[in-house]
Amino acid sequence: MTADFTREAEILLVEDNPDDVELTLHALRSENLCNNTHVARDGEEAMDFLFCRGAYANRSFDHPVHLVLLDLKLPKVDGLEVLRALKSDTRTRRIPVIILTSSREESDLVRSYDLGANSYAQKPVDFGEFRDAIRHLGLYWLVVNIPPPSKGWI
Amino acid sequence: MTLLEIQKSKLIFPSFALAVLVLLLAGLGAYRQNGRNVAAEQWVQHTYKVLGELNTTLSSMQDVETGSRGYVLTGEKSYLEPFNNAVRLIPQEIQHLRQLTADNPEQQRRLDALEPLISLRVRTADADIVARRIHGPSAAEQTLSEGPGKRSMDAIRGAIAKMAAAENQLLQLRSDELRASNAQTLAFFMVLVVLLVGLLTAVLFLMRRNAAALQRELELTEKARAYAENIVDTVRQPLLVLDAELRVQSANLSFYRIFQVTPQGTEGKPLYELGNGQWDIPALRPLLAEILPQHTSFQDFEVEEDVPGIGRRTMLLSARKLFRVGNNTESILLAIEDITEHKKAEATFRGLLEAAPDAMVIVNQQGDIVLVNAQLEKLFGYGREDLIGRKIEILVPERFRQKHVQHRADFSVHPHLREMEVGLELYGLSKDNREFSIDVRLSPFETAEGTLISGAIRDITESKRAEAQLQQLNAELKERALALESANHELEAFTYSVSHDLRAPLRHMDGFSKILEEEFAPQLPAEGQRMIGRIRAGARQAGELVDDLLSLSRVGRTELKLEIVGLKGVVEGAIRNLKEEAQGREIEWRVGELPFVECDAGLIQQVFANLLSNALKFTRPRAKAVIEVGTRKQDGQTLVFVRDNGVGFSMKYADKLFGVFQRLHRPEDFEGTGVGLATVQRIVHKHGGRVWAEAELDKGAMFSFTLGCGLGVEGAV
Repeated sequence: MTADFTREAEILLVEDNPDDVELTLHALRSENLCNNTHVARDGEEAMDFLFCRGAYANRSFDHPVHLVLLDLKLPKVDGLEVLRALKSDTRTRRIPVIILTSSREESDLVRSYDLGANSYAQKPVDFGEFRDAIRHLGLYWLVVNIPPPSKGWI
Repeated sequence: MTLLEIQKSKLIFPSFALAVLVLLLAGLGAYRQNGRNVAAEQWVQHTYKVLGELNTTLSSMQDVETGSRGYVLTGEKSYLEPFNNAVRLIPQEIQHLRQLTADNPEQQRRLDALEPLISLRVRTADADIVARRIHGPSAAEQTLSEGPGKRSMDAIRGAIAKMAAAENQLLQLRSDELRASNAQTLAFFMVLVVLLVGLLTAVLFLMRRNAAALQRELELTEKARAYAENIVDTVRQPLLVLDAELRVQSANLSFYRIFQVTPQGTEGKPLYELGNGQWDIPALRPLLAEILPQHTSFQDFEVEEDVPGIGRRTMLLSARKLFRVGNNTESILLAIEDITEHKKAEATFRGLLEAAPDAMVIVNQQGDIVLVNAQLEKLFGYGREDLIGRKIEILVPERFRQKHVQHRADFSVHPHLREMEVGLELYGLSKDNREFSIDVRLSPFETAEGTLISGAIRDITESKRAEAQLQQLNAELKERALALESANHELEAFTYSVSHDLRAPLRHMDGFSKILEEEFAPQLPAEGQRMIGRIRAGARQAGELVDDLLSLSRVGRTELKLEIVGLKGVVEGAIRNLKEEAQGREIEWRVGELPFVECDAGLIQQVFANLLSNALKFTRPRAKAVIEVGTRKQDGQTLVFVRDNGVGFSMKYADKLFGVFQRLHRPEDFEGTGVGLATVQRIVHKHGGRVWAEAELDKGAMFSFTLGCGLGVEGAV
């Protein structure tokens, strides 16, 4: 991913599996939601992006993403760690986070909500259902839901 | 009698002895006084004799005088006769006097003086007589006139008178002495009499007191006798008193009562004839006839006899010879102890002992074996004759014996029921020197012979080996359980991660083939599109399988969260979730009243989801599906059932129903993963319940389950 942020990203997709990345992006695209989607391939990159550091140092907290789609099983730093960091920092904690994972483990559910996840969705095997889920989520969080006030937010 | 009385009674004899002594003294005194009196009397007699002899001598001299004078004067010869007699007697008389006064020198002297006077006078008289004869009467005149004869005679008289006076004086002296002696004696006797009277009074007094004491003693004795008789009558043991001829003198009440006989039929009868002669026991005869006289008693002679009206009794006879001082008779006390019940109890005890499954040994406090049973003989290889009377240590291995003696001593100080040496390994030693592990249980019990200790011994070689084996098995089992548990954990972790990891590629397969189907359909021939459909179907089925496996593994891994759950709500929710699948079909849902149950809501939801989805699936061929959920009581348990009118199954496969991946239908007939019922069973088991199915091929199926943890909170939603 490039450091070209002329167009501010609206969605951060944190996903390590390229197939999942492609299918998710496909689903977002087909619902016309993916124009401003940035993809982080591991937890560390996601944190750098969100906290505007490392490769993303030139990013500003003034323009936060509107939505984070977060997988739990991630290389380097796992999804729950990312969630914890995100939700415990005043600068990032208002960003809605949707856990998008194949796990339906209760412990994962509980811990995610405890750490402040705003939504939890299991990736269905059926691609049609998956697409439906993405559509519902995108519509809700990007259209229906009124985000917290922010300088960079329209 | 009091002590004082006894002391007083002891005075009787010395007082009496003193009195006797006094009497003896009196006798002695009397004897002595009598001797003195006799002597005095002799002396008086003696004096009278001397005086008499003096008179006789004087008389003789007068005869000499008168005889000689008469002749001289008359010449008559008759005068000469007294003269001659006197002359002949005088020497004798003088001799006699000399003898009588031999003890008195004065009188002897006087006699010496008298004697010449007498012989002179006799000669003179003789001379006068001769002169007369010769000279005739003239001579006589001359003679007489001259008078020498007369003077001589006077001198004689005087001498004799002196002697008589001396004798009389002596008599007087002796009489005085005798009188004084008599007065002394009298005084002596007076004292003695007073003393004797005193002593005899004392004796009398003491004897009277003694007699009173004796009387009291007699009364006490009488009371004691009555008391003893009462005791004898009260004694429960029958007693007989026999005389030397073995006749019954008396019997106590117990005897009459126990042998049901009367005093009339018993007293005075010979022992051997009592009753039907049951006492005529051959072995008893020598005891009574020979042993008893020599040894005065015998004890515990056991007899077994038929007693009329009572039956066969076992008795112990003891006898003792009694000697009655009063009438010097011998009698025999025969005590009879009825030990029939005791014998029976003993027989019962022995029976129990022999019947006991353990080897039993009974020892006394000294550790001597008193009794053993057959099991003990078998266990240790000894005959009981080898053991009875021996120390218990014979059954203990050599190296433990000394310690065992100490243990035994401790135990007899504090006897109590206990396992011997709890936690200690005990060993027995058999006759053939074989050691073996034993378990011993000791219990003390009281008997007439003192405290005995019974030991129940069990050979635990076998059980010890079994125990060791069991322990080993247990350890192995634990090891295996641990291994199994870790394997289970591994398996679950594996299932979890495999399911997860499988899910992603399945999702990708489905996703990409869907995109292929949607976006590139025009470029694909119909066959290609069909195959894409098959790929997607396969991916979806694999996805379901993975989901099912995941939920099954979740059931295994999660803790139950129990809460009160209304089953009706759960069932209705599950039916709602099936709406999509039920679409286009005619289905009658019959949901009865269902209880509130303490269970894990999420899991119980899965149970109904599975069962109802199955029911829906297998009723698909029916024009109208009837699916019923209800509750029923069975064997006091409330069970919930889900019944359908579907295709059912053959009961011969019922046992496979709940196994993972077990399917009874072909996939083309009924799709499925074969995990649903396995999950149901796992959930029900987790609740401590039971699940089972009843079905008949083509006639529907019914699944029932109970929930051990609280199906029974009754109530309707």
